[in-house]
Amino acid sequence: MFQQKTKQKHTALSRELNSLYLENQSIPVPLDLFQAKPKFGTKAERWVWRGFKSSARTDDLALYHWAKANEQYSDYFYARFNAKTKPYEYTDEEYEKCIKPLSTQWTRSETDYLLDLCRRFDLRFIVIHDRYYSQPGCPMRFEGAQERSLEDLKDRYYSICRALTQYRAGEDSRDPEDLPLQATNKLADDLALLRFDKKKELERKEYLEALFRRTKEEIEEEEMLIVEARRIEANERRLIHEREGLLQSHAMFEEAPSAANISTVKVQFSQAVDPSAPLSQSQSAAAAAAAAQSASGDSAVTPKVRKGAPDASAANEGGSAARALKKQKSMHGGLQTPKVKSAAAATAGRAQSASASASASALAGSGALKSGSGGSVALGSGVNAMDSLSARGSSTVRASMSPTRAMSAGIVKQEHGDTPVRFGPVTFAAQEHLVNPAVIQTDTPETGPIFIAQRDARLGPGVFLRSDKLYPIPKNKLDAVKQFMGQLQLSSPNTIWPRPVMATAAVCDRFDSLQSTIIPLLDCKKTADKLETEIQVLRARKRMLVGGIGEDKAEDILSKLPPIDESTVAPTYTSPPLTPTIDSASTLGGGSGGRHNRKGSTASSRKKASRD
Amino acid sequence: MPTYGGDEVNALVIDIGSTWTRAGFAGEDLPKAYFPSHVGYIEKEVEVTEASDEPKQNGNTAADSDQDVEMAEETQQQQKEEAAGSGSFRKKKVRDYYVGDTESAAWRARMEVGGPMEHGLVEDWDMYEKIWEYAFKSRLHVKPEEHPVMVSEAAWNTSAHRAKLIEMAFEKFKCPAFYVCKTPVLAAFGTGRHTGLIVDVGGEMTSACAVFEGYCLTKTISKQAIGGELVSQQILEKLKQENNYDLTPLFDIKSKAPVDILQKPSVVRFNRENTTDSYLKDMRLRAVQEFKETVCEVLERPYVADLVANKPPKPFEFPDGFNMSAGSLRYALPEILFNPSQFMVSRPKSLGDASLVGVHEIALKSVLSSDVDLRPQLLGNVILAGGSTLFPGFVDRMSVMLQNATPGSRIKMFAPSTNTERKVTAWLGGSILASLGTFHQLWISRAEYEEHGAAIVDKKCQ
Repeated sequence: MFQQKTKQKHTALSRELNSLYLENQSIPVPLDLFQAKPKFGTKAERWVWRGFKSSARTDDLALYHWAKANEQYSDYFYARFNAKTKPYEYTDEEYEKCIKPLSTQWTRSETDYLLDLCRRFDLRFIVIHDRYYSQPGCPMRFEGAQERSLEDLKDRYYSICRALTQYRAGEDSRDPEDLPLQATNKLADDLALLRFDKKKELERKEYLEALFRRTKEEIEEEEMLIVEARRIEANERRLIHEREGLLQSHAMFEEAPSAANISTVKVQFSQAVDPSAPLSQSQSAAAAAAAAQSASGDSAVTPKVRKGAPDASAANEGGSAARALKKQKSMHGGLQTPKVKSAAAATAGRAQSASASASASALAGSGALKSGSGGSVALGSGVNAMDSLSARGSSTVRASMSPTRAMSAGIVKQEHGDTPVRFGPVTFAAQEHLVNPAVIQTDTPETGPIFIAQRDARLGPGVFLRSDKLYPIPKNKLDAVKQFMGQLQLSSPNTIWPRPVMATAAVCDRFDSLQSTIIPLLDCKKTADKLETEIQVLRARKRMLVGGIGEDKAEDILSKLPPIDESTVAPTYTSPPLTPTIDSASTLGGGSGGRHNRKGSTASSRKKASRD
Repeated sequence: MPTYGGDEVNALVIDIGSTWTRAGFAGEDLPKAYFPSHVGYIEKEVEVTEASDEPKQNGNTAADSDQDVEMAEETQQQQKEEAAGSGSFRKKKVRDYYVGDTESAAWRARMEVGGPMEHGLVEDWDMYEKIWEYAFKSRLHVKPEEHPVMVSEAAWNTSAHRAKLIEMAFEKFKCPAFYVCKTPVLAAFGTGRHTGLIVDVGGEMTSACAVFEGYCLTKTISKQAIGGELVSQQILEKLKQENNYDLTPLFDIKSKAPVDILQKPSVVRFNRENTTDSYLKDMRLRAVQEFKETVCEVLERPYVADLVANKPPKPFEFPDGFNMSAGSLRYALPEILFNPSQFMVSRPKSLGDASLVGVHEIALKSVLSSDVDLRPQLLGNVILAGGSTLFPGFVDRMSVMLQNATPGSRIKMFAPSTNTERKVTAWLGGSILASLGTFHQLWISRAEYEEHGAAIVDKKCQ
């Protein structure tokens, strides 16, 4: 149905086209959409003004409201919400038997009155207490008698409830032993819910009152103390964190001197100097056994190892050392021989032995560092993990090794005077061979068992430059590593990325292990630098503090102070392990040498000299 | 069935305060009627016969023309027998009442103006009844005998007053059901809360009271007879002292001419005879009410004279043409509410010798007299009601004062944001309560009243 019916029908043309040549074509509007009265599907419901009665009322008051005519209710809709609490009630007998003995201060009538109020105010004790003396039927207060406090009322009510619950349970003719567990539990639960300790409650309110009456100053002081406490806690956490980082950077070098079959090599990747054979399989297996032994509790600590660090610090150190080792392993994952499993076992053992002689291991580590700074780098960490592990903590292994090796383990303890720092020659572990790479055995049907370089076996199909497959150096450390290699007089054909000149499998193995030693060393130096500045700051502060009274007097005062209890102080680095670390690192960077003691470095350089 | 727990039974809610009365239907968001509680009345003596006790219909001057004045019928008041009467006749004082905004404000010879309440309690029941009648019949146009009625009462209302109230509702107005609820409880419901500290600063009284789960805690009530009306009076006093200015209310002004700032107004007065003092006072208060509403403010922080001196002044012109630029004055005068002893211009006799405290101290006293477990709940739900809390800055100031007094607590203020709602908070609570489906079991029915008598009100309305 359209508003305007067109006389001719333009069936062939569309309406739009028609409107182009026929004027006054109106827009068709469907009229049936517009109705004066809307049509609904359903009929309007009838509402009536109707009286209603509620079961919640005690009388039959009829109030009126609008309701649907066809809906009928048996009861008023909202009557269901008329929920009331049911406080305990008692019979005369119960009162005489169990409530009367409870207190002499309450009469029967007052108890009745209290329970009536409990019912009327739905156990809102605050309201009950408020209205206690203003309700009809309120008890007479005797002269001088105290007004009932909120706690008095609560105490009375709950003691009645407890007494009644217990009494009623006792009324149960069955023997309490025979009662089902459930019933006994329920009784206990009920009694627990009804517990009310007036003394405790009063005490609690006293505290609350005190809390409420705090002055502004008190609150501010409290807040300040809280902030201070948080700060101290945070500082402590930070300190522990930093210490852990420090230990990790050490762990890398802990085992180096003892594990290394030290021989001196001129580092030029083009030439292989040391002809000594790599450690045989059987030897390392024996070492592993020894490590396991030490782990099982018989930690045969070398007599040269110094004890003395607190246990906590030792454990800490041991843990972090073990972590560092794991990390190291993952770094060298590709280089490792298939002895990984036993190595892992040994790591666990190592953690223990390390904890027993933690400060000593730190010493050993720093000793190794020093030897590096002194001109020779012990690449023990580059050796497969088993060997370094086994050597640790087992004097038997050492005994079975060559005297040179045993001596190298003792580097730490050898006392030597200062020697000037030298760069260049690097001490390598002998089994890290420049000719024989790490190999694995492969069986092929045509040729039978053959040995191929481990690193080549890892490569997938395709053509690669072996030097491309070297472990990458993290970009942020690249410059430092390059500089370091420069100091070691390593030549590299690639100026952007250090590469060995002749990338044989064995050379690449060595190059990888060199790189992975340099990186932790650099980390170590960074830590050392940081500590150095911290020490300087502290020294300056000390000077400033002492300045007023003079150094001697300050020492005097300090000596009079009670000694600090080591067990209460958080594990700290004592000076002996700390100083060498700084030494080694600062000399590594070519910093100001000579000022500090350089025991380790002198030791290693001497030995090298003797061997040469 | 109905949603939101509501079920309308067409209940009437009436809340008579010391200055304003609100009346309306339950379930609505604003009262239909909002008019002053002050009522005009003319007292006169008529001769009544001993037997009938009916006044002779001899001069009902008021109830002649206006519809609104139909209330102004004669009623007996203060039966004073005159010894001069000869046996069958005696003289009796009767009053013509004029209720409503316009009626009570219109000038009539010898018309007194007064309210039925004193310190929150009904003193003049006759007048109170007239207000009910006016509200229901002239304003709501309903028959009270067909509707349940809910009334508000002061928290400190006495049993005797309540008994009289229920008697009036059932005997005079023949309500089918009746309930009386305390103003603080209603104010709490009006703000949507069942627990809180209600601070009500009304025209005549300032009171604070703790409400716990819908129960008004009687031990925490603290009150003081300082309110908005006193502030208005003090403003008049101040103007008189400082500017030697006596306000001429609108009804007395025949013509006026503009004058310069702070100059004596040039007004030609009607000088109507037989103008009563109470009427004049009421009219002046009305005029000053406007000054209070437009100019006066409360400082958000504790009062500092230097700070106030820097506030911009506001100009104001009174009905008689006197105009001024109110500077520190507009802060100093409402300060009476917070520091009455220092800022009061002259202490009215009605206050007696009692030591005066600020609103916040009244509130604090109420909090301190409550149980220590309840205090955090109270301070976290401070509900402001009453017209005198409408000074700009009042809510913030109150919060600051309470926070200073209880530094360890969390203070939260609740005050309806719109001015209208704050004026009718208690009525609103009554409107909500009386339209709840679950409330209908609480009404006191006529049957209950007849069975138990007036004592039922104490039992059922807690």
